[in-house]
Amino acid sequence: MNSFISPEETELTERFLRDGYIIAPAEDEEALQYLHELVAPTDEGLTPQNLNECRLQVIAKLNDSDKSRLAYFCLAQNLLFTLIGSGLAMQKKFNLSIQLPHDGTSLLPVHADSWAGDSPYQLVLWASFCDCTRTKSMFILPPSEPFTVEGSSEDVYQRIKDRVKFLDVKYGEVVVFNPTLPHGNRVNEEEGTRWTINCRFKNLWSPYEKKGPGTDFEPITLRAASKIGMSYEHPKRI
Amino acid sequence: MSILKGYNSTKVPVPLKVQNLVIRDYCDRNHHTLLLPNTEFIMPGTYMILEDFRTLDCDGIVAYSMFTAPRELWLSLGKEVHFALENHVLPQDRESCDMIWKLCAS
Repeated sequence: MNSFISPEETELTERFLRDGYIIAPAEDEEALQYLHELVAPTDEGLTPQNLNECRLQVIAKLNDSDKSRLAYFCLAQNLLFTLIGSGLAMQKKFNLSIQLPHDGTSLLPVHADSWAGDSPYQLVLWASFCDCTRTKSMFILPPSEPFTVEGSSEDVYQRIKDRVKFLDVKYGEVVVFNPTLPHGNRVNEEEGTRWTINCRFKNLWSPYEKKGPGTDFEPITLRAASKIGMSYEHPKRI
Repeated sequence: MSILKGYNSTKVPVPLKVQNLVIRDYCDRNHHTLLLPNTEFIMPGTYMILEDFRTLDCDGIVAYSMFTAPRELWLSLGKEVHFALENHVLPQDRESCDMIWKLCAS
């Protein structure tokens, strides 16, 4: 089949399909700075006991801001256009992950978003407000690695733990990853608290599965042809 | 008053947001503290999230419905399970729950 995708986009696409993720510099410094100020990541006064309350407060700030979703999209607009297309829907709400060192209370066990009814056509944009490495980061199982889903999520992780990749991400970089691959995090055994936000993007017209437009997603780049098609009616006979 | 871990499921044709409303309403009415629900996976026959709940440190589970997982799995958990939609609790309401499961199986 002929592909009209440019060599640069082809390289990016092939790398993404091979690895399951791309790490790239944030495309908009101002947007990153805006989000950083909203999130205001800090270790001061943070304990496992007050962590969830803090998390909810910051999520509320992010979700209440009318500029935060645009800013987030701008962090990786070109990357998202290359990997998904230019008619996009974006998840309505952000997710925020705060992981204190040596705290097991806010872990995300191994999972794939599609296992929970998310569309397999969506990608996740993951942005960190600190340098993340090893257990201070997320892990993902490369596409080439087989796995089974017998038992608990810990059983699943134990079977794949030698084959997962923990992503090395510096502050100022973003990750777009394939959430149909098993991924998650472990107890943070490194120094410093991990502060990351994530949000999902998909092609506007790809299947939504259990997380539909209105409830979970809304259009952010509705193109002219889509607008025309959505309102088109055949002429009526008089 | 108990601390209950929420459990909803993509295996039932009810939006998760609606399931969460039912769960939250049940907890409010019965003065339980609700820990944010985890969502069961969509794959048929897979109950990984419920398996994870075996080692959970809480007073019990509050599930959207008794039909979000097989009867045998609920009974094997060894935990108190509240079914928000049907307003029953295992093991206290075992007889009523068994009656409902039998009626729906026939």
